[in-house]
Amino acid sequence: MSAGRDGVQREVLERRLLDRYANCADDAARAAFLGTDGRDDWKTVVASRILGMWPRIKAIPVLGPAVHRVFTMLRKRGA
Amino acid sequence: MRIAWFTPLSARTGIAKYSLSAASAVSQLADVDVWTTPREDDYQTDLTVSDIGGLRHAADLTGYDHVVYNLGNNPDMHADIFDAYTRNPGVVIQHDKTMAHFMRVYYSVAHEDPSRYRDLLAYYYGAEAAAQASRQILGLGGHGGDLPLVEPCLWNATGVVVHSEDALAVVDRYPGIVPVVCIDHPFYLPIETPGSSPGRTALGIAADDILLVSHGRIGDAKRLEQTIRALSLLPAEARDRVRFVVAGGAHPALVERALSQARALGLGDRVRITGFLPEQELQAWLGAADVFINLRYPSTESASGSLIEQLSYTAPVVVSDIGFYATFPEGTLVRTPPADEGTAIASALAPLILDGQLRRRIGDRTHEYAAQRFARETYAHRLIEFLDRVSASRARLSEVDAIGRGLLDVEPDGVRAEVTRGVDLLRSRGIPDMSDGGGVS
Repeated sequence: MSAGRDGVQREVLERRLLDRYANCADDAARAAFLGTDGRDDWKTVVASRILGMWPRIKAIPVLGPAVHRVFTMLRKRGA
Repeated sequence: MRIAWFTPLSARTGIAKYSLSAASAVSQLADVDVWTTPREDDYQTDLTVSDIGGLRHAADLTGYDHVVYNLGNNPDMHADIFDAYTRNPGVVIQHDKTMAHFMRVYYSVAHEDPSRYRDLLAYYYGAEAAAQASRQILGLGGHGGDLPLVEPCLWNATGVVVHSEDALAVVDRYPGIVPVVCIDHPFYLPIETPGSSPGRTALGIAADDILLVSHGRIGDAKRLEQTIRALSLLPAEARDRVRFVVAGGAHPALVERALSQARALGLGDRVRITGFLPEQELQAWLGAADVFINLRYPSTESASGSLIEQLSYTAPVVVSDIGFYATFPEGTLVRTPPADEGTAIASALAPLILDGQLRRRIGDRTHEYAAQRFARETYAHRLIEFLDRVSASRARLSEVDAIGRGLLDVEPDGVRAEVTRGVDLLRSRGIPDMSDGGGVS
């Protein structure tokens, strides 16, 4: 890391620029930039899919709270 | 100065009470318009209120000198505000030190884009952390889900305000180009409610009962089960006088667990969890309290709105010795070790339950200290001073961010090289120049 004559670290400027890119780039560009395309294992893919469906699952009477309890139990066991 | 103040106004979040107080105090020094998503349980305000849903273009905000975004970890209350923040730069008031829950729900659920959530974790903490966080959601191992993920609240910030010193380090990501400041949280305004509040008798509290009250949205971090265990450890003469009321909502599973624990410990008739309360009833419980209990572990908030609210009263407050709570001087808040499982909480409570003079002495001293430290006028002046600093540093920041926008036209494999070129360019221009007051505090 280096600090210029103005006292601001080069690293800070780079961080701001990269942060903006990581948060603003479209999905394909961001994944290519990060190298995250196709690198998830099956567990991560399943977790992501279920997370995406969660609002619909939790709205189902009985099933939603039951699934939540299972998740909570699994999370505690995993922790 | 004209300020657009983005905030929830719902009675279901303490940030609404904060905003009513802060925005109205600031409005004595500047023109403040509130932007919110209207909800049925919104508090009323004399300030002009606009609907965030009507905000179509950044140009709608060009008449303001500053856009201020209140961001917190509750997606129901802050998703719309975060949306606006991603489209228009502004000053962020960061209410929580962790935004992991918000980001998980915002990207994975509200936007049905789990890969974006995963990518942000990968970017900020590494690919392995991202994979672990995703797996942890299903309990399939991994430990990435506790990462704070506050960073997405900073990349479009022109300045950041927090309410406790220990939160400063969390948000000071761009020292020298994005100012950050800690300002003590302001006292709340009294919320007007129709009719008079019921007294202790109407609440079912006997004259010689000692009423312990916790309030707000209750989660595991508020140590409800440890508190109930502590009640069971009290000496008999204290335990037999105590009533513990949790004036607020909690997850049904936590309520069930806590109440069954109380029954098992022989405290079933001494512990009550009210669920979410209308303002008048909430104020009745707060006004009737002999002792407040406000524990937190871990500490994830920038400050504690519920503590600020309790400090408006004169009952002593038992807290965890962590984060914002640890910033109070000796002799004010009654502090307990954060990870205590009940023993130290009981030791702190027993003398307060048994000694009315001690309660009054500590409560009055704490209230007096808080009234000075959390004065609304002080908050308003310090915030306006900070906004002036943000204005002074904005030209430099705009130049940096303009290069950041240009990166979106670059092929992904050329981004890092372009960043290097951009930084070289900025430094060759002598930008940012720290000599005119753009530093951090």
